[in-house]
Amino acid sequence: MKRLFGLFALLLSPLLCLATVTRVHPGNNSFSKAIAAAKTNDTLLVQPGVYKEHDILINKKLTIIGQQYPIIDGANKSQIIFITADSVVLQGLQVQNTGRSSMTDMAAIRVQNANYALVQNNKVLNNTYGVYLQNATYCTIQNNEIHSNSKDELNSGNGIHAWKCNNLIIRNNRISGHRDGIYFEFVTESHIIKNISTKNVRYGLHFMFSHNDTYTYNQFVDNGSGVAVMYSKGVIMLHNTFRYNWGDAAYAILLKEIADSRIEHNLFIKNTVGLYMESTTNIAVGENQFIDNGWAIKVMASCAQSDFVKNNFIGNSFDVATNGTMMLNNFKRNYWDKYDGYDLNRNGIGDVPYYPVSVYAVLTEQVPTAMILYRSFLTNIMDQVEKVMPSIIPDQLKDDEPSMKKWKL
Amino acid sequence: MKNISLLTAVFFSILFVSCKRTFQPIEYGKEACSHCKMTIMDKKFACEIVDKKGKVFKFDDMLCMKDFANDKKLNDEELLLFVADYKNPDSKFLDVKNAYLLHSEAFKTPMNGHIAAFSSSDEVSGSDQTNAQPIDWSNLK
Repeated sequence: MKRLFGLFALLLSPLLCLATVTRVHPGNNSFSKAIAAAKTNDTLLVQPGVYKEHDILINKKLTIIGQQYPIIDGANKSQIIFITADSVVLQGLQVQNTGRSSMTDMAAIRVQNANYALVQNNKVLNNTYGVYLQNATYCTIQNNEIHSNSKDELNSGNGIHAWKCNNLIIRNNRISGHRDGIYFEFVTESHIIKNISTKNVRYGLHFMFSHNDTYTYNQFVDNGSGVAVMYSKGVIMLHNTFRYNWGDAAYAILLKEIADSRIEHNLFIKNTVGLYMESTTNIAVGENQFIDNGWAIKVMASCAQSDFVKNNFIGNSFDVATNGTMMLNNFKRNYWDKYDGYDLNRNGIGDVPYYPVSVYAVLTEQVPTAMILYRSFLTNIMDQVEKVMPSIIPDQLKDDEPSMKKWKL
Repeated sequence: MKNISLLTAVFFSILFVSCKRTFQPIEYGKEACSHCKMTIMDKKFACEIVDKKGKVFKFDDMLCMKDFANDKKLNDEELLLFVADYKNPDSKFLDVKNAYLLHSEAFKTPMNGHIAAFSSSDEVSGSDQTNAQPIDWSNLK
């Protein structure tokens, strides 16, 4: 019996250090005061209403839960919430109206030198920067609505901005109207999953010097110039959708100095350029769909050791363009809707190679204004002649085993 | 006859205007950097090269401009080099060779060049001065 009692005492002992739950009501700086008064491990339930407060510092481990989206309004003055302690949970708030400045990065929610933060189910509206992570590790940012519709688009910041972080999870957020939807600089080992990034001024997603990251199942629609992945290694891009990235300098994906990465199972629809590659090494591009793009792929002569396998190319004005005659990449088993070869042995593979770079793709690469004559009679003749006797087009760039049938992807 | 001479005059004037090597304004948020291909967004750090034929190249960071000039082996003497005034980004661009350039980690340029241009050393405010190194175009690496 005594032993049983001891066991009971042991089981109940966590109750002794149970944190308190405090309700916070709107009032003069009531939110900041409640945080200052709270102890580590406490929970604050923020009641509905408007809290006109800014520069709110969360410097101890707290769980802050907004009920029916209380509004934390920075009144365009300054930054709003700073998280500087580990394991802070921030959820259910509507954080809005940071200040604007060209000198400091004004953020609605800033996680600074802290780990294990969980920021979820918030509405982050009309801010310069939405969620700003700086020297943060193992943080999760999920299910947030991050929107901005600032008129001065040039001075706007990024929706989710991460700088010198690792092991982040960015999941299920909807981001629009910022400069870059999601921006990664010096961020490693992180995952970006199922986000929807639309109508951002520059890029839907922007990677700089960020190695070994994964982004999957995201949608990037109608952003200024698509997605840029630059100066990084080991980036894995799977199952994403890139749509309507139209414009003179717009790409669905811009790859610059990328190595050892994978681009697979993605969907590229109606982009000016589907995939633009410059100075890349060892990229696997497989089982993607390129549909109705201006250029499906632009691969510069500075790219090497990349494999393009089992992709579908349907309805693109140009399938592939390049700027040189050297080609150190392999194209194999792709389906090209413009392929007009034959398959006598009926093994599903065309018997003659397909040259995906058309004469006009070569010409416009050198003289962009020549585009004005595209689809003229002369151009058609040139195209037919080149098919018989390749002289201008890079004859090393070919698919020796083009698929006769569209891949089911 | 008078008409024809007028027409030729107009024709030649257009010809000369188009040949003049001069600064071309940058459309922010639309045009891409000639080197890194990123869209030029930040007015404070934009810069531009006009080469000897009058061809214009625009950049988002001074580092890109330098790398571009090195890659293409352009001769500095033949180029017009412009850079945005960090303090007055909406005013006229500065000539790189006459501008006062500072390198500091505090300048968050798009490509981590960390270089800002000022019209003169008097223009630099105290906060920008800390940990900053003056440099010039020719010894930029």
